[in-house]
Amino acid sequence: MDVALSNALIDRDWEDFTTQVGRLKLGWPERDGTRIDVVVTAPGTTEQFRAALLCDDYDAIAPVLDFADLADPALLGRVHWPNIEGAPYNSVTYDGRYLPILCVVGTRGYHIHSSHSAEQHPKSSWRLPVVASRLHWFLRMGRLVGRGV
Amino acid sequence: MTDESNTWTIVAANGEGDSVELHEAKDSRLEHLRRQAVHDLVGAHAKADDYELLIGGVVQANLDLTLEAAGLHDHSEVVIMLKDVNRG
Repeated sequence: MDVALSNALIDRDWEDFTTQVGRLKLGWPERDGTRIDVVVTAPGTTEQFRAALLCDDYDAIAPVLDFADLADPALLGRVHWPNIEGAPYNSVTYDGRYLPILCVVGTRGYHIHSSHSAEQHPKSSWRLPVVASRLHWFLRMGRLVGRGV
Repeated sequence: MTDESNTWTIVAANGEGDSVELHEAKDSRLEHLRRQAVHDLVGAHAKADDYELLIGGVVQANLDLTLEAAGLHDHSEVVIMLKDVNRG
């Protein structure tokens, strides 16, 4: 899929996404092409995290959910993830690096994991408003126990 | 205001971002709002107890509260989410 098409499909879903983010009080999304960042706060804390949705090839494939350094968004990876007690973490190798994933339909890590790559799911499973809901669900799964997974 | 000052329009959305407008008395209970939202967004077959009601991103534990007591107002937005998300 070309970048222009991905951007057009993100444009299509952008209003629904920002509306859902607003309803869930997740934060304020910032978009740079096919990347969307949302600075979120773990419930019950003042700890902030920069969620990064990498939406290349949207919506043929699900967005990658990763987290980045708050001050330097270029720095992605496991050390920036919120460690939420009870969250269903796993990992894959993605783009040559270790990527934490959530074992739940809707983000790319799940769909490329060897346990799930043969599963068939409709594109609606990873539309941007759904991903916003998944991110909110993840953050309130349990107590924040630290930064890094 | 939908009907005089006693009936409010509440926008209810699901986890997919689909939404409906509900017309509720401001002194009706959150439980009623949840039931209506689940009925209209998921279907008559769905069990309201399987869903959480979120206001401002916060799960509402006390569904006996009236809309007004819960801090809602005309044209407020709420979200229903499945309590259990299937995990791989």
